[in-house]
Amino acid sequence: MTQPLLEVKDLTIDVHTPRGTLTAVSEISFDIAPGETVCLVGESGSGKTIASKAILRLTDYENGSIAGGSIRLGDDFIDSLPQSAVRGLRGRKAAMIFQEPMAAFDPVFTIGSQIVETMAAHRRERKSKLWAEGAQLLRRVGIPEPELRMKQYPGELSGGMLQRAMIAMALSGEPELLIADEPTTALDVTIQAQILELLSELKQSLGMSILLITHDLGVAAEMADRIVVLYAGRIAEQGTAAEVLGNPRHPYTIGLLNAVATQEGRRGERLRAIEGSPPGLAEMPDGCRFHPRCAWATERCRSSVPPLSEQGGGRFAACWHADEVAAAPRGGSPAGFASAVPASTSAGTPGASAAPAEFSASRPLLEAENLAKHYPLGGGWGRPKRILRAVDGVSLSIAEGETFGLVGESGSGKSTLGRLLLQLEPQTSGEVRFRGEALTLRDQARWRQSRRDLQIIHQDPYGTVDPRWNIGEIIAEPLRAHTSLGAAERRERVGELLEQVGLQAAWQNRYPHEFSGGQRQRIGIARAIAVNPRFVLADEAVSALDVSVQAQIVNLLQDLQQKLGLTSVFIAHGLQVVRHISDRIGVMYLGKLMEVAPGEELFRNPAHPYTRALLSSIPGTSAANRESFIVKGEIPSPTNPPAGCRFHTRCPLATDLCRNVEPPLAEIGSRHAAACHYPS
Amino acid sequence: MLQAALSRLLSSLLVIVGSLALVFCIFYLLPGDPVLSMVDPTSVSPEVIENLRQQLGLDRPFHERLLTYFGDMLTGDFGRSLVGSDPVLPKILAQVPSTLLLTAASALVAVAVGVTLGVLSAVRKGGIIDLIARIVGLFGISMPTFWSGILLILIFSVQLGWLPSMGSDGWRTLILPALALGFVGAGSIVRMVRGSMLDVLNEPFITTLRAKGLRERAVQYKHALRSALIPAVTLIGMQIGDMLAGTVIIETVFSRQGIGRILADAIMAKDLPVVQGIVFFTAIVYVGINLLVDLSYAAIDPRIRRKGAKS
Repeated sequence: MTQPLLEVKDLTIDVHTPRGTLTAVSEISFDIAPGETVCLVGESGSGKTIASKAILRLTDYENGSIAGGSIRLGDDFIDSLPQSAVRGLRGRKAAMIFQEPMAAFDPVFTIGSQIVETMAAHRRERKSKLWAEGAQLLRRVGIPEPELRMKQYPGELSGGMLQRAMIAMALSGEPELLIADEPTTALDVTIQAQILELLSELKQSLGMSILLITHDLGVAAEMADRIVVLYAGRIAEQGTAAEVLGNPRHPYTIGLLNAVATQEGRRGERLRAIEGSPPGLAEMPDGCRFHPRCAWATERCRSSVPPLSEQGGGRFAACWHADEVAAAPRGGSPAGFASAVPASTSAGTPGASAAPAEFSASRPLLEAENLAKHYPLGGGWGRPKRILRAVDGVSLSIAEGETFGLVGESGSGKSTLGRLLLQLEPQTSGEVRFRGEALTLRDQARWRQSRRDLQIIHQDPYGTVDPRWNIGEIIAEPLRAHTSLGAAERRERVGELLEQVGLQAAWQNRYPHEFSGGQRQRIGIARAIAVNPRFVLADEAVSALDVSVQAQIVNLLQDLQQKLGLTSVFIAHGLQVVRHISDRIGVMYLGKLMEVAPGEELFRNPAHPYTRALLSSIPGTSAANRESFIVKGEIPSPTNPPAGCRFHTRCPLATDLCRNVEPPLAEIGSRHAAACHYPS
Repeated sequence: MLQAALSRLLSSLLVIVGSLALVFCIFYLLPGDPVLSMVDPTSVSPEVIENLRQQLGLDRPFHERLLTYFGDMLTGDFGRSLVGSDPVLPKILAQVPSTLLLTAASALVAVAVGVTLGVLSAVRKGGIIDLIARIVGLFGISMPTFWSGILLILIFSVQLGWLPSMGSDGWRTLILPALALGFVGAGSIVRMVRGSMLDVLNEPFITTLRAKGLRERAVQYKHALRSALIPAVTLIGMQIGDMLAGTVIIETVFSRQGIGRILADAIMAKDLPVVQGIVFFTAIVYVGINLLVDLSYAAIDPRIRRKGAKS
């Protein structure tokens, strides 16, 4: 084997905070060969980002310091070089791209000047020559009209385009190593697929090494030659992608793999979540850091740190019980591993919903008819008003007890549709009916009354609670508004609710900041179900959570739904999760429903090309399947939707008919409707 | 673009008219009689006073006086001073250069000290310059100008004898009042620039710039400073307005020529035409400064520039 390009050995990174020095990363070792892709996989607090920043010593600027170990990049030992020498390597020997392309460019300089500036930092050349080279690079990464883009500002490009531009900028120094920190997390799945494809292609043609940091095992499965799993600042396991994903030897890796809703998993089945949540930097457990969440944990795990030991064949795992873990049947685990939510483990057999119930027979609880929401933009002083058609004629009917999933890229109007269904804002036209009666903001008394039945769980569990209220007050507020319960009864009810969502009744006096993200989302759920609503809208309710925690919340939502007989709309961009939880799924694109079908059916027989594109964009999907259906380009602006079928601009099957005539949403099978001239 | 400019112009006009109307109302509601401050009632007969009042139009109803006033303004007639009965316009214009010079010099001090200290203290957070900057910030915003003015006179004129304590001839007389007045603005500007610079240095794009291998100087002064100046520019605009207002006090403390001085005198004498003339002038300068602020916004922030061009 050739000498590795990057060799990280026993790296320990300290972070200096006003409250003292914390160790973010402890004694991690890994290396990357030329032309190899290594994925650092981990949840929040795993230290993956700080480890990647340390490779270029960017940690120095963020109160971090390398407290031990070494980093060799090519011939240079980064850890012992002075800053000025490291600076010369940045962008040239190794370049970085980041999570939020919108935030990663300086908003007040043009794309071109930022690319040229990068090149000029490392070589002396005429500006005009560099500028031409920059445009060439933009073309190389698939940006149309590169000369024009060079002169544009970051705010004028879409997220996907900016990430491409960021990659172009990284390429400008012809680096041997590209460090990509969650490069697709902020992007839509179809764009993610495009960016991942671009990265693979660049790696192939340029022979670059890639260090990819991600929380998404699907992305790792698709991109990685080797995977390094980080947990709480230590390496849990590393090995080739096939080995780590196919034959994990650390309970955490197994937990992560189990927690992901997969295409193979049965709908309605409980996800096998990992208990608890990743520890914060200041509260690292003794011994193996995973032991409080591990079903295999023994006394030994609690007292001493397992070393990262060779498991044969270039595999490493840091677990005292690695052999037993590897020998156990995949997915099989000691009793109690799946009991993430103590209060709800006894919830009835989920099998009942595995066979999709016939909801069409029961009466609809919530209906939408030709619902539209148009936002006027700009205008005034005689300038023409533009209209943003967020939702543009959606009809759907949700039966009592049903879970309806809504998927679509950002800008598809799914959140707006959700808010219209709840009448949190008035529609431009159309009607929402709750139990057969029109629901409208104009009828204030009835609207207020209806809040009891219609509740919402938000995406950001911290942003949607008042940080100065304790959680008892937060959860009790809907009770105060809608019931005549006295203070003592309210406290009792809040206690019940807390236990119902897997928290403790005694925690009423605590404040939101004392809880982890997953716990806060439980608080949000408790608030939503406090007044026994009939309907709950979960708007990206699990999107902001770590994978292992996501599974807990999905389980909780499913349990509650069954126990309380809730009807719900579940909005998410994570297709697998939506499939896991929903009876029926609606696919939205530019304010319209493109396809509606029961979850299984939609995934097995997608009729609309857009649905097929979304499905094949799921990372980890087999490559053969994917190449057939990566859609080009990006979602057009909803201020100016394409004529005819709105998807025709990106559809590989589009014909003249599609360009001119808009297909209606029509039945193409039992409970399966699609808005396409050529449903497959 | 033309429409945007037109609407700006219209709103500027509204500001000027509004401030004039406001001053007029305040004087109308103010107790006391301007005529009585012009003449000595013990030595002049009531008929004369009444005559004078009619002559000045003070006996007419409010709306009539207001309309007449705006009418006169439109024809360029700013009236005559009630005290010296000399025409208002030349009286003000004679004083304008001195005051503008003082304001400009003070603004220069405020911006130079404020921005430099603010940036340096953010870049070297926790260091000695940071400490100085925070002291300047604290004193700047908490010390009244008359007090810092007197202090400066005490130290540099009385004790050291380096600079004159009064007068308005020559650049040497400008230094102390400009320092006293500029110091106040510098205080707020230091704090604002320091804060916004620290915010910008925490933005994700700063990490990108460093990861590209740019020199720290380029990261801080080419990129971070430009973004950090965007909120500071608004403040600087407002500070210059405040400094213009502050000349009233400073010109009195340093016995300088200027409209601040005559404004103070005119208010004491309830000399409405002079006060209104000065308000008119001040409003115009104020509006002009705001226009400059907006223009420099566009120069710093392309997002604003592009929006303007598109609409």
